[in-house]
Amino acid sequence: MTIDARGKNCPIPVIMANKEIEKNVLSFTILVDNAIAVENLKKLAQNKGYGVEIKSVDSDYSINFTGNEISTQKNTSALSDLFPETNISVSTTDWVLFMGKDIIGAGDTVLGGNLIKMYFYTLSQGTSLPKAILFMNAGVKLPTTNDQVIEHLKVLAEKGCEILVCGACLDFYQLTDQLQVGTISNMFDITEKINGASKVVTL
Amino acid sequence: MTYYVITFANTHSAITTQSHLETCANISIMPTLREISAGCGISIRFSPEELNHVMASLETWRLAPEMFQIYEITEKDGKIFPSPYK
Repeated sequence: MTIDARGKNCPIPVIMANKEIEKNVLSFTILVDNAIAVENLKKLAQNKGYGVEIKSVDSDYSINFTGNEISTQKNTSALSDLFPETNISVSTTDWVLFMGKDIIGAGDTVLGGNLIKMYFYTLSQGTSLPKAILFMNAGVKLPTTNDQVIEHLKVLAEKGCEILVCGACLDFYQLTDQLQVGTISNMFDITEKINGASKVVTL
Repeated sequence: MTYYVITFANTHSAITTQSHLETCANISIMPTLREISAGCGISIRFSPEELNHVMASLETWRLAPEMFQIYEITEKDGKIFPSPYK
């Protein structure tokens, strides 16, 4: 298989190659367009017990990774140790979470209410955090009246998540004076966050 | 850090017990720890200070003993150590 990482700056090609290695793919080719990526991919291959064959095609490079069951079991260092720049911290992820309601999914509201508490509990304990959490419509009930979710949101805010809550929605539900965490926001800012994100998750 | 969780054999038992306990103790909801992985995915969490309230409340609660399990959870150096309580 061939992975096209041309036009991507380091550390992206390394992350893409490492994904294949983690899936135990023993043979793959990655295309890159700069010499720095080639050097970093060679370093990755060496550490992970893969052999590399590099071909120069026009201004691009084609790097063929081949490993075998025994040599690739070495897997000595974590990617973040080899390439500190790949150590994506909690604040650099660029996905956003959009909450348009105060439960998860459709169906039983009691179950959905429990699921949302568990979701924010789990999210607040993890390292891959959204850049922003956006609350609209009945979603605004979470940062105002849901004590457990409020506690988890406070943890998320401390870790760098921006929490934006629709002002018109707070007003509609008469919850404006009960906002416990986050800032009152508007459609312009919320739309900007959605448009600027690589991924928008809604539950 | 030490806290307690109750796991359940099914989701319905978790939800009905949650409603019962909420009236008399300070509890919260969390996903069942992977370190336990028994029973349904919803757990009830409470602090050691709430233990007596919860135990007293469970005595008056008609739920068969095999439908739930209480664990004492100790978190140390980022690791989780659950041990069954009673």
